[in-house]
Amino acid sequence: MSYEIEATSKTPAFIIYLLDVSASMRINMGGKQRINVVADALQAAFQQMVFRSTKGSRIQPRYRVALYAYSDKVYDVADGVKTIDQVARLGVPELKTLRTTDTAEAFRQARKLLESELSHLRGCPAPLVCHMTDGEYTGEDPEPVVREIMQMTTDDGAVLVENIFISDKILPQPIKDVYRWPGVRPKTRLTNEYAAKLRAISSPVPDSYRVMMLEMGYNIAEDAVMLLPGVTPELVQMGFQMSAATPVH
Amino acid sequence: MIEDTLNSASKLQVPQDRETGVQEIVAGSFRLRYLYARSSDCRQSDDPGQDYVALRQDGRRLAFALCDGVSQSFYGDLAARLLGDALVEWLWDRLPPGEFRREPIRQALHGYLTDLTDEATRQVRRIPIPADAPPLLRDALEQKRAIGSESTFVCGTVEMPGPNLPHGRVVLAWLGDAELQLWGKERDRTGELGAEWIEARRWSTKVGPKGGTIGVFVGRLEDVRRVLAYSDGIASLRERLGRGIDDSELAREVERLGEMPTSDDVSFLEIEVLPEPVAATVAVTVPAAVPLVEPSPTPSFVPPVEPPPAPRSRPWLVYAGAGVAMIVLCLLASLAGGQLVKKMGTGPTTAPSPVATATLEVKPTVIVGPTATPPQSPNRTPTLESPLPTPVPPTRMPQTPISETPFQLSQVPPSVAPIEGKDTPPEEAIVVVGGRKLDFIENGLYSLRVAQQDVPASQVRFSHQDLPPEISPDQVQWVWLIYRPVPSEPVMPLLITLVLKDGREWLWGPVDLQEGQEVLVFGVDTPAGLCHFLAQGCPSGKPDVPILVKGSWYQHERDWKLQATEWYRFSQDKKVYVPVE
Repeated sequence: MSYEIEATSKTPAFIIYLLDVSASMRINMGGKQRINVVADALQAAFQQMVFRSTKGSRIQPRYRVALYAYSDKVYDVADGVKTIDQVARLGVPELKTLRTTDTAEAFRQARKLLESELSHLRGCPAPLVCHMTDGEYTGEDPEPVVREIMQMTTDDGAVLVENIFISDKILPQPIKDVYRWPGVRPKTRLTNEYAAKLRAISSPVPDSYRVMMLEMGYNIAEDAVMLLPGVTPELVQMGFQMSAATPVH
Repeated sequence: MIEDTLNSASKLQVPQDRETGVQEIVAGSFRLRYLYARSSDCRQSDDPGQDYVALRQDGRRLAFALCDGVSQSFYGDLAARLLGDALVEWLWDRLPPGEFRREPIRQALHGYLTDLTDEATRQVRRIPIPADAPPLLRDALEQKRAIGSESTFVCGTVEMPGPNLPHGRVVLAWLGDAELQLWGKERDRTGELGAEWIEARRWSTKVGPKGGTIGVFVGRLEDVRRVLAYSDGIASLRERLGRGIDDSELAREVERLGEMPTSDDVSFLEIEVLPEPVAATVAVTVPAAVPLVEPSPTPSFVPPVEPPPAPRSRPWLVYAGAGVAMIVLCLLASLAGGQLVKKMGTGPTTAPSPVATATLEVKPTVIVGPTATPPQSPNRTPTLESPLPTPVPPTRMPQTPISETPFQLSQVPPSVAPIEGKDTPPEEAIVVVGGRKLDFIENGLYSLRVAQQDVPASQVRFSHQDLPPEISPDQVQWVWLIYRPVPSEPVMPLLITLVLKDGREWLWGPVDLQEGQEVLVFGVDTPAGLCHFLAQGCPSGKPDVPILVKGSWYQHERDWKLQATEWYRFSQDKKVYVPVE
């Protein structure tokens, strides 16, 4: 199998969000603080999940979500794994900025959660870890633990890792039209070393995800990887949309 | 007496809010078998299923529809129910009699289903969002409402031979991924339909048929033994359904499907044309050997509703003249519930015909939750009594009310602009628009509204020959116009198609398109614009924006289609067309 299992209420998609809430997330981006841009994009992603899960007026639990905010510590913002109907009832939690960026610790929490969940995910779509950051880690190098996560497998394929990197120093040229942009590819020139590192720990975009992105009007190339340069609020939103692009029954 | 009996047409509407195990009915010349099961999600939450089955018959003629509501749309059960009832009504009352050509039937049905959108949209607007819906759900539902409620369908009619139809007739139509099978005495004839079951094709309360053209098959009844209709929830069993599957096995399979994670609503209808009609009027309901979750509800058989016009005589009726009181027997048993019901129906007071005319009971469709709008007759376009419209000389045309248009006028008109990197628009490019409010300005000069925005390009003036005398101006509901842009109007049309209110399309004047020749075409990304002509549909993502397409024209039956090879989208910032990769 390769990322073809559809999310249903019996076999829901599982998404872990790791959100960097370090102090730099207060920097302005398109008239808003980065943290608020992320909150908006997260809201849009949840809205997309709700849209895809709603039959009649009822939200079917086709997605399960964990939400960790991290700085020097990791905070379980949603208080455990929540189904999308629960998320809809609770609303998007407020995100507040803190201090440093212990990325490795955040991924360790994700790995721990995945280890406890994997045995229950038979027949489910492969889980996805969506990591959003706006700067280089301040603690330990997260790459080893991310690679361990990427080695974890399910019936549907290995665990997916997506990185949304909020920075204006990633690509040599600005993206003029996100709907025409093919995404970050293995040979795309990146002007930031940390972006190159994040590319190395980003999964290739599965074809089923790519099809969903095409249906949303994006134009992701076949060899694109799950690294989104969050240069504009539009691209941040695109990154979160990708995290919810699991095929749904 | 025979006429009275034949008038006793009856309807069946399978309820969406519960499971209906395998039911079998013998009705005149037909043996019917059907079932309905909701998806496991719907059963668990006790929500209505989004499939729908409706049927009407009088023992010698039968019309059916099976619809599969789109769950990603706004209350797909609404579209399925509304569409199913409308299709049966159209097949029963408006299907052109004696017509064996596919195209006129397709066009008439397309027009009818397009006209339905006004009333359907009103129904969609009326449905309240649950008061306790959290904001995320409320937003999602409002987004879906904007899209409309959608459903795929298969439908058809089987007409036994009669004086005006000596060989009988079977008409089948479809749009989407619900499926049909057509079987002769010993062979599968489904291939003759030339059908493709494509999910993206569907009927929408907002725009009518979308994603492709309605498929139509018309044939004589000779060598037609069975017609099968079923939704995609049971399509994995298509081969076994075709070969024949007994009731208990069918029920078991449906139960098995319901336990799978991908469980979907399941509906199935099998129509068998009997070699000899059943002499007595008998309707038999056979219970499912294995009940689906709950015992099936009592199928409902009620007295006739809206009898069709009485034929003067039926000399071909083998059993005519026998004065046997009409008996309606409904046998219902449920293994789980242990219920066995016999129901005696009272025939007409005049001596009935022995021709089999089982009256199917009508169980009022149960609607729950926010879809509790009572079923209503869809908006209907008046049917012309005469085969041709009354000739009316060309004169100033009355304005067409917005409510009668089959398409939503696009927001913006096409933009005749250069491709990125060029200074001028491409030479020899042409423009495709759809519009309403066709106005006669003076002799040979007309104007057409092609976009909602109040900008000069939203009104196209063109010079053309007089309207055909057969066409009354107030019959024109929509206009397709293809022309070559010129610096100053009026433009000279290359093709004009008039869509009349009765669904017919009328080619107005000669066509000046070159088949097979590569051409660049300006239009708008909407079903009311260039998408209407594109063989592969429009690119998704940004609807209702100007687009430019490179492709070549070809003729499919009577329609002109554009096979696109390159796409461009208009950039409002740069005022040029940029390629869509």
